[in-house]
Parts: sequence; C-alpha cells; structure tokens
Amino acid sequence: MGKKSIQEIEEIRNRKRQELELRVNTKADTREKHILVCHGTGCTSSKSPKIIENFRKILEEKKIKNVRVIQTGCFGLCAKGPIVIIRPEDTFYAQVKPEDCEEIIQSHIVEGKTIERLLCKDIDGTIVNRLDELNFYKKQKRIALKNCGVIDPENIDEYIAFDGYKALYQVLTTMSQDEVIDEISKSGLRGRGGAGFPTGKKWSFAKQNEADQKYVICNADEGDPGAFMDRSILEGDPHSVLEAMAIAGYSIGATQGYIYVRAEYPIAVQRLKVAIDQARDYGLLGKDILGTGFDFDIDIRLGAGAFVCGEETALLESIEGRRGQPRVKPPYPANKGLFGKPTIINNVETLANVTRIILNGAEWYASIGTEKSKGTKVFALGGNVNNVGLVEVPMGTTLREIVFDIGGGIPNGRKFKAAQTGGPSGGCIPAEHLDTPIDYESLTEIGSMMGSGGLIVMDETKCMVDIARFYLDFTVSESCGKCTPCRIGTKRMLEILERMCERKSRARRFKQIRKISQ
Amino acid sequence: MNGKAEPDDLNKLERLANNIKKSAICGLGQTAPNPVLSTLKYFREEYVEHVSYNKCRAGYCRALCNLVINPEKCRGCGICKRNCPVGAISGEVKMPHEINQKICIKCGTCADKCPFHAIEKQTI
Ligand SMILES: Cc1cc2nc3c(=O)[nH]c(=O)nc-3n(C[C@H](O)[C@H](O)[C@H](O)COP(=O)(O)O)c2cc1C
Ligand code: SF4
Ligand code: SF4
Repeated sequence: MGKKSIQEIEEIRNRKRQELELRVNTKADTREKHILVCHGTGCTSSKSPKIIENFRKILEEKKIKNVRVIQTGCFGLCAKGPIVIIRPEDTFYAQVKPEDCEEIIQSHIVEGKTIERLLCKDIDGTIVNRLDELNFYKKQKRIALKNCGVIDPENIDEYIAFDGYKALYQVLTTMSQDEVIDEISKSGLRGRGGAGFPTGKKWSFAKQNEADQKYVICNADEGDPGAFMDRSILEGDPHSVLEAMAIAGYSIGATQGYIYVRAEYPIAVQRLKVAIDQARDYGLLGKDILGTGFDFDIDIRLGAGAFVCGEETALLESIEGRRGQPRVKPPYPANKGLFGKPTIINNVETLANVTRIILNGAEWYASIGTEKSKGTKVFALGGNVNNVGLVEVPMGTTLREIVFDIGGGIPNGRKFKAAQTGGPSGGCIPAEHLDTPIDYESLTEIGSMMGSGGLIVMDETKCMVDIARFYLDFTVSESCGKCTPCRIGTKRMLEILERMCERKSRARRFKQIRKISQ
Repeated sequence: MNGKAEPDDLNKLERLANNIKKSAICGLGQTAPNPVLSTLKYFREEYVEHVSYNKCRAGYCRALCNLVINPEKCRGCGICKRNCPVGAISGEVKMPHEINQKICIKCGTCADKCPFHAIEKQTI
C-alpha cells in the first residue's frame, strides 16, 4: 500500500483487468467464478448481506477455492431483488433468499446445473438466463452506471481495472485547464440535478474568476421523494465521482472538494469514506497527485436533512455551518460561493459522466441524445409499473419506451393514467404525451420538468387531485420559510386541495384548531 | 351542491400558483406549483368533478366515495358495526353486513377496523 506512481497504477490496471475479464466477457478464459451479489440499499434491505455471508461460509465449509463472492452496487432491477449474478456465464438469479445459497453452490457451482426455479421471469413469462436478455435492459445505455453492478465499490483496484483514474492522469499530463473545459462544453453535458445548466459553461465561469482558493462541491443531497439515482451511483461506483471532482478541480483551479451527502444514506456515506481513504492512500487524492504537482483533496459533509438543503445556495449555507436557507442570486456560486470563494456545484450523476467524456471524447458523447440534451439520463422508475428499478436511457427515448418496453407496463391489467417526472418540482404527463421524446426542453414544454430523475407511473386508480395534494404537502413541509409566497402561498394552495379531496368540514377544522391551542 | 370546496377554488388555485412561481426566491418555491398546474392542465375535469359533483372518478378520495361492504369478503363478525360512530351499519351475525349510505359520514373507521378488508371505496 501507500503512494503509487503512474507505472504502478498501470501495473495494477493490467493485472486486475485480466483477472476481472470474466465480469464483462462470457467467453473469458478462466477457471474462476465470481458470484456477484447486489449490496445497494434496495437489496440490502431484503437481506443481501446475509446472502453474501452465507455464500462465503458455505464456500469455506466445502473448501471451494476458485469462487469469489463480490458485493456490488445496484444492477437496476430492484423489483427482482435480491439479485445474484454468476460470472463468467452471466446467470441471473432473482429474488434469492439466504436459504437458497446452499443450493446455488451445490447445484450451480459444483454440479454445473442451472437452477430453473430461481431464474428470472420476464413480463411476458419467458424465463431468462442472462441479464441482458431481459427486455428491461434492451433499450438501456449505461454510461453513468457503467460500473454499477460490475465492480466491487469498496475496492479501488477494481475501479482502476476498468479505466479508473486514467482520465485524471490524461487530464493532468496532456490537457490545459481550458482544454478540459472545452471538451466538457463540446460534449454538451448538462446538469443532471434538475435545471440542466451546461456544465462546461459553469466550469468556465468559475475558472475565469481569480481567487486564492476555489471549491468543487458534489451535490449528493437527493431529496426528491422516489429518487435514488445518485444514491445508486455512490453505492456502486464512488470513485467515478471522486475522479470527476479532481478533474473539475484541476480545470477551475481548486484544491479542495466537498461532497454534501444525505445523512439518510448510510451505505453511500460509508462507501465514500472507504473510497476517499483508498484514493488518498494511493496518492490519487491529496498533495502532488501522481507526481504532477497538482493538489486536490475531498471531504464529506453530511446533509442537514432538509429538502431545501439540496438547493445550491442553501447547501453552501449549510456547509458554512448556518441554517440551510437559500441566498438570493446573483451573486452565483461561480463568483461568490463557499466562504465567498468561486465554487462549482455539480450533481452526482453529472460528475459520473465526466470521466467517460474525457476517455471517449466529446464527439462520442455528443452523438448520443437529442439536439439540445446530450448523453443519457438515469431514472428511478417507480409506482404502478412492473419493473421498478433504476434505468439509464439515451436522451430522446420516449416515455412509452420507458414505461412499457423497459418498465414492462402497468401491473394488474390496469390502464396507464399519468407519469410524474421531476418530483415535487415537476408535473404529471398524461397518456396523450407518451410519445414525447424525453429531454430537458420537451418536458418543460409539456408542463413538467426533467428534475433529478424520479419517474413515477400512475394507473387509473390514482386521483390526480390527490397526487397534486401529495406533492404540495411535501413542499409545504419542506419550505424553509424565508420568503412569503412560498411559505404562505403554498399552504393556502394546499388548504384548497385538501378541501377538495376531503370535503373537510368546519367541524374538523375546529377540531384541528382546538388541538393546536391545547 | 353540498361540497365544502367552493367553485371559485379552481381560479384561486391557479392565481396563487402563478404568483408563487413568479415571486419565490429559490427553485423550491418557483417550482412548487408545477404538480398542481400540470394536473389542472391535463386533468381539469377531475378537479371540476371534485369541486362541483363531489365525485372522485378514481375511487381514491374517501370523502367523495361510498364505502361499501363486499359481501363476498364479509364474514359477519360485527366489528364494523360496533365501531361505527353513527350506527350506519346493520347486519346479522355471520351474515354480510351493510352500510346505510344516508347515515354514513365516511369517516373510514369501519374500513380500518375490518379484519378481512371487506370494506371498499366505490366511485359515486
Ligand atoms: C429545492 C431544491 C432542491 C434541490 N435538490 C437537489 C439535490 O438533491 N441534488 C442535486 O444535485 N441538485 C439539487 N438541486 C439543484 C441544485 O440547486 C443545483 O442546481 C445542482 O446541484 C447543480 O448541479 P448540476 O448543474 O450538475 O445539475 C435542488 C434545487 C432546489 C431548488
Ligand atoms: S421560502 Fe420557499 S422559495 Fe423562499 S427561499 Fe425558502 S424554500 Fe425557497
Ligand atoms: S368488520 Fe368486516 S367482516 Fe366484520 S362485519 Fe364488518 S365488514 Fe363484515
């Protein structure tokens, strides 16, 4: 362990890459087998840690040597969790229980017989052997989630094996600050945190401002009800975010980064801590990174637990130790951000795209997506849809493709009524707009928003007035109260909606008043 | 028309929404009305039904639905009858019970108490 030179990093990469060939190649020439178990929040809550423990115990008891059990990030199909994948053959077992481990080892590993009972059934009833045979995966394109479900997020060597920290070295040794920003600008990458601001432009503003200190902040506060894209990236591939922050730091001239992460994401926080320690140990964070003379370090700041703290200026207040209330803009953070210094704030998913853009080139990235929205978008698909989970699709994919082809349609033979995108800041999209290609502009045009990527499907048993009430109820309790229209106006709106849904009688309101005054 | 929401409520809602959008400081307030505005745009008839006809077509808002006992699920245990605060439920032991819609105040107590989930919401 300890600081590594670039030669040593390359050695690790080559050695590990060969060892891990079986993760991505079903024809890999190996005698090893890897049992991959999802260790994201979803599968963890349905006992995946116990499954990992059981596998390891049984392997030891049976003295089986060439099989390794790996904990990975989210595979995406959370509805079928806990998920176990055996490579290189890429067999996909769904809804595995801790009791099934014995049979999997005995039958699959020892006797080489696939266990039909645990194979996943597609929506049309066909039994699927391999992950990518599922309709769920066919229309997806994984860029931000590339490593999720492939590598062990707590092992930096595995990240390095799949081109990890290569983009950072390339940037530090062959590109000027402006070249990096140009590349990001040309790629057309826009902020995935909601507003869709061009990332290259944001970085160039911060670079232009001279200052003795600048900051890079990763916004991992993800407070939208129903959203878990950022959590999954942090849990499955934390190093990609760290590496991108260092690249951003170099391009604007910052030496310190902060990750503002929700305290409600204990697994993500833990993975980030491990990843930062490992990166520091290898000299990929800290002073004189890879012998290039560039200093950059990252610290974690835990979120204060309010939705509004995800708003960039409230987030700054919160890191500075004050109550998380938004500031009036301008000045924008790129001019006067954290502690009054130029600061860029980027969303987790935005950052997860950066290393891929550097390595594959801006043209490659710009070739994916629509005219004004490039690349892919990760959605947390939920609600009344068969395949609940995490999906990543090229911009311009239609809602119909996401709900019916990837999501497998509406359960219980019911009809589609609406899809809600953008959480409490977005809107409901009716069936007549199912064929709209999704990008930032088209969603705004039909009265919704891209938002951070929550996508909730609703069937005909959902009342639209009640849905509006639900989201407004959320904003009312999350409003920080700094300005009157938001504090009082939303409350008045909510009261009207409640009146509609509940026929709230005078008597009940009196009861409420009595309760408050007691 | 005996609903508690007033017909002017829809206009009031829209006016408030547009004002908040324009005047709030941060994105939270500026976007908060979106769920309301978008549903008002695409599902306006549902709002009108709620306000003017006391009807929830999705059968979701309890106060705007009839609570009915599904005779196939009801075992006639009588728990609902004993818990109903206005005595709207009648029925013989071990026979399907019935809710008198004229008396029922739609408090939902019976549905919460029924051990067999026999009490369902039905669109009016
Ligand atoms: C109320 C509110 C909550 C927000 N929450 C988040 C959040 O949880 N995560 C996030 O990345 N951006 C959030 N944003 C957007 C941020 O203010 C900011 O635009 C974003 O982090 C910029 O990063 P990007 O350009 O990479 O998207 C929120 C905005 C508002 C108004
Ligand atoms: S009161 Fe609402 S709009 Fe105003 S700053 Fe607070 S959260 Fe933002
Ligand atoms: S509580 Fe349920 S099962 Fe019992 S009488 Fe009432 S409806 Fe029937």
